[in-house]
Amino acid sequence: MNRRGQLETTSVKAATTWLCAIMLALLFSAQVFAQSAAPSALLVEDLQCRGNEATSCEFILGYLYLLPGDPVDEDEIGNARLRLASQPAFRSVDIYLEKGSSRDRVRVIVEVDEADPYAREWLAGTSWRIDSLSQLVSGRLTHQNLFGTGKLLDISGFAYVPLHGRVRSEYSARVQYVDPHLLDTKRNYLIAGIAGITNEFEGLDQERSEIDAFVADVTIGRRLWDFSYFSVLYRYIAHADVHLALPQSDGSVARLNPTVNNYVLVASYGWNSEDDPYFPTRGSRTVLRRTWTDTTEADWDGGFRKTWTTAGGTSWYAKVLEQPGTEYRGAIEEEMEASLGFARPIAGSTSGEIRRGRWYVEAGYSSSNTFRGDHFREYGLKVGVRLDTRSFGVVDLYALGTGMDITSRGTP
Amino acid sequence: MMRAMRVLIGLMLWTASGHAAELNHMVNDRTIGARLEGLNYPDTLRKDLRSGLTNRVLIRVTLNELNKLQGTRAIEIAVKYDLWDETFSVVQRRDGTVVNDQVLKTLGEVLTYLRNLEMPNLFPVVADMGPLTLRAEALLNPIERERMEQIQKWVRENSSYVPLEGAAESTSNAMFNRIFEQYARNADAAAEWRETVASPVFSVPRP
Repeated sequence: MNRRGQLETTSVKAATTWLCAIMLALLFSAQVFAQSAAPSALLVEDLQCRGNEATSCEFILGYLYLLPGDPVDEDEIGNARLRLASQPAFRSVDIYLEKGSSRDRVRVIVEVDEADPYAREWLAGTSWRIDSLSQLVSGRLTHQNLFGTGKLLDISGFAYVPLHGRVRSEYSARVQYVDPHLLDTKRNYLIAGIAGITNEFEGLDQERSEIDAFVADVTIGRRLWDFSYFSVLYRYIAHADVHLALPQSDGSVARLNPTVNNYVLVASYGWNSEDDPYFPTRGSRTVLRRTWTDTTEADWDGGFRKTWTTAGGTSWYAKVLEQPGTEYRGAIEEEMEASLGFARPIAGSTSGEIRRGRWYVEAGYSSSNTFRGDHFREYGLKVGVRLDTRSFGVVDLYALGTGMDITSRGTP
Repeated sequence: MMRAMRVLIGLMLWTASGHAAELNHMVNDRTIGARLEGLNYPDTLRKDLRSGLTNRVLIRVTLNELNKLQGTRAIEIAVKYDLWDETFSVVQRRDGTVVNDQVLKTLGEVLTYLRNLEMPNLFPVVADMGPLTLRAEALLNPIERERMEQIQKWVRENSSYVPLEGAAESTSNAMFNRIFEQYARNADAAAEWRETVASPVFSVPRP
């Protein structure tokens, strides 16, 4: 190769090298430009929980529909925060990102501040009903995040103590476990409970009954549509002891120990659209039940309550028959068959001890037949205050007074 | 010296606790703009801004002439923290169009920006304008009604929320309820934090 040829070869090599360099530079700059111009395409490298002690991370991350390898979806993260925020198990919820192992990867951190898992409720009231003075005391303690998975353990006690007049007493206790998502299903739930009760009642005609019972029950239910539910309860009566003392027309007293049911089967349909469990301002609750036992005929029962609020913040409520509970539990309340009441809000205290509250006035009416067939009507007035307190949970204090009117007399 | 320190600390606390926000007009190139200063954002904002997620401030500015609505503009400020560069991308949009896009280096700069918002060129100046007022409604991370309804439906279907368990309302639950309450009052957008500010009456020279 001559000198010119060598020079030409060298020039071609140099040009090729420069061309490659320029192309690489262009390619690199195009990549850089593409990186800076393209929207953020971060990928989830890992999901972690912080601040959770009683609640499992699996439970928390069950509210966030993102998996490692997914693109970071800010809308979904926002939705998950709202879903978690709807859970009373948390005082606050925060979701943020941390750097991952490379520039396009991040860790999604769900940080929670857990609320007190125990919820408390107290009810105390003094009542003068018909011709006896009684004191009702009831308490309920619920662990609302059992095993850190949102299951519930509910313990309640009830005492209705006679103070003066005829004996009308009842003492009961119940422990129940609630799985709001049976077998991780979306709408099915399970309740399993045991309860004991002792009850003594003296009627207007001096008839007396004494009942001691111990029962176990299981309920399978399904939430329907937005507010409704349907459930089937099976209750096994493990022990029951019933004594009746019935005055006869000849002056003697018949003492009976009737056979009691071995089981009770209850099908229930209900709904609850009230906007607040303890301080509702609108919505309604209802329950309708069909009960079968092995010794008595099938029977219907239930109740309905409607709440609405008028201008000025007064909440009104009307109730017929039984006070409806919710799908997970019945209401504990001293009540009359039909009632109409109103409630006015009480502001929270500056110390924070009282978070919110209301005072209420309720007029009620009941009617029934006595043992001998007399028909009587009961008219009552209930005045109370319900407070949501920091130290004691929800506290309801009331006084109830009723008058009686016997209008007819049948034959025993 | 100690007295001076106390005064200084007092001033700082007074500033931190926040006096009322102010909204004032500004006229530029035959347009009316708004300057919104001293918004009292929630305490969580500092942490939220560094979350790596986009934080949005939506401001709806309305111009009224003698209580008659003359126009509405929607201003959105999107702030996103870059976890690697440790800078903040701040994009201001007016009715969906980007009008300002910048990168701020520190959290302090972002907070200053958000507390001294300038929104120029919102409404044209037309002849015979009477006494005017501006009104700004600011929402932090607003949630659309449809989205909230979907979440609400999800909660109804999935929540283990029952009366007793709701006895002690948690802060997060309160936040959730607060958003619902805004929709219950027929608001078309709701947020954990919102603030409304009105300007004093003003007039603009004829064009």
